[in-house]
Amino acid sequence: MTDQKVSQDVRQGLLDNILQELRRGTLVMVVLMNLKNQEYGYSLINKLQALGISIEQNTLYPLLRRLEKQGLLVSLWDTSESRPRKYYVISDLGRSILESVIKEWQHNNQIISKMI
Amino acid sequence: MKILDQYLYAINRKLPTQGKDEIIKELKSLLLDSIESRYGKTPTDSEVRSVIQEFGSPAKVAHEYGSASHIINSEYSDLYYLICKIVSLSLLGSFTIIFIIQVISEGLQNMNIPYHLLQLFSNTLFAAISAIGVITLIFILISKYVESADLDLSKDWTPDDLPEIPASKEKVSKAESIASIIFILIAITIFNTFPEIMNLGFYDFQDAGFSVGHTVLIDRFYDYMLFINIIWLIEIFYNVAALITGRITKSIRFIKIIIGVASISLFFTMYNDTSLYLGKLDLFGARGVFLLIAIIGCIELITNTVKLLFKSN
Repeated sequence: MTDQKVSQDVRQGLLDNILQELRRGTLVMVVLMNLKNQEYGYSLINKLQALGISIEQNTLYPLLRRLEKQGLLVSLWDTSESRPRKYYVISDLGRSILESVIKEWQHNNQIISKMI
Repeated sequence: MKILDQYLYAINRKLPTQGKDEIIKELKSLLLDSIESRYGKTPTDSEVRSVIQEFGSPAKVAHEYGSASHIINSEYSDLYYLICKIVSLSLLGSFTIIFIIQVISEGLQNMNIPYHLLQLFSNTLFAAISAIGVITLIFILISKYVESADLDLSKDWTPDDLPEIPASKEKVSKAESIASIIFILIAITIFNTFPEIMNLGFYDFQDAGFSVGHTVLIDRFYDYMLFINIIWLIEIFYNVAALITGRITKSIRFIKIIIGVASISLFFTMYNDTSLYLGKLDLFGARGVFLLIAIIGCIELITNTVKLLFKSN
């Protein structure tokens, strides 16, 4: 009984890891797809949550900064409201990369669908 | 929202220097968005704490903004590169000054310039390599020690663990601290490799018909070099600590007072030590300089003590 319990825990742990890896792999694509119009960090979290994608704030915010550094996003501080906010939007480079990534995703999806 | 400022301050201390101000500005705006959307414009302290708790420990947040784990913690990497640059430049500066002094004292025609230039290059290179080696080792140990002591990456972290923001608003001038480190390193290198610099100019003055009271006995002066080196090393430590915290806290000012007391005692002792000088014991020469340093040290010590005792901020 205990052995069965342990193996269930191990199974769950492995599954969590694999699913986390899977989500992490698609995260950049998801973020780029959802920044065709400008969003700030918190509004993007809400937008993704509404679409059924839950992501931790302290994972998303550093990711936005990294993508900006890589030139895939551009940012702009809006200081017109009472609280300054940093808005992000996809760059031209980001758009062209996203296009290729989507093609690759569709290609892989076709292959994997045949396997299932 | 004092707790929010404490949280941001704790993250700020763990971030690499480059771009940290903007990260903090953005995080503040995002956390306020999160707090406001859940609890409105006047949240209670415990509501703010719950958002912070959920966001994660300062080390975890800073870790997400840094790159993968390094042998030297990303929190210290900028400081590490800065100190390596400062030390290399100071060594180059020191050996160049020694080279120039040699050119002046020996005369250009008596010197084998290519040999001395090669010596300048190799001295700087080897001294820099060994200095950077020691610095790297120290930073690796700091990273390892601090990481093992840093428990806030764990899930047990709570906002109650956040440190108080130092009360001092007196900010450290980065340029001043860096310049101080460079000057001290140059002084350490020159006075340890070329202590004869103390008597430089004495014979020129004499030849020109001026009477300078005394020269310094280099062997005796060398006995004092150990103490001078210790004071200079503590002074470097003080400047590095000031660079890390970015503010003059009470403990940092306390280090400055210790340096002040030590250097005043040392330079007054040197001023009074008659076995240190050869010739007339007047103030024309190194003896006068030591007295001047001690007097300036006294003024600085009084200022720092008054600030420590009476300045609440």
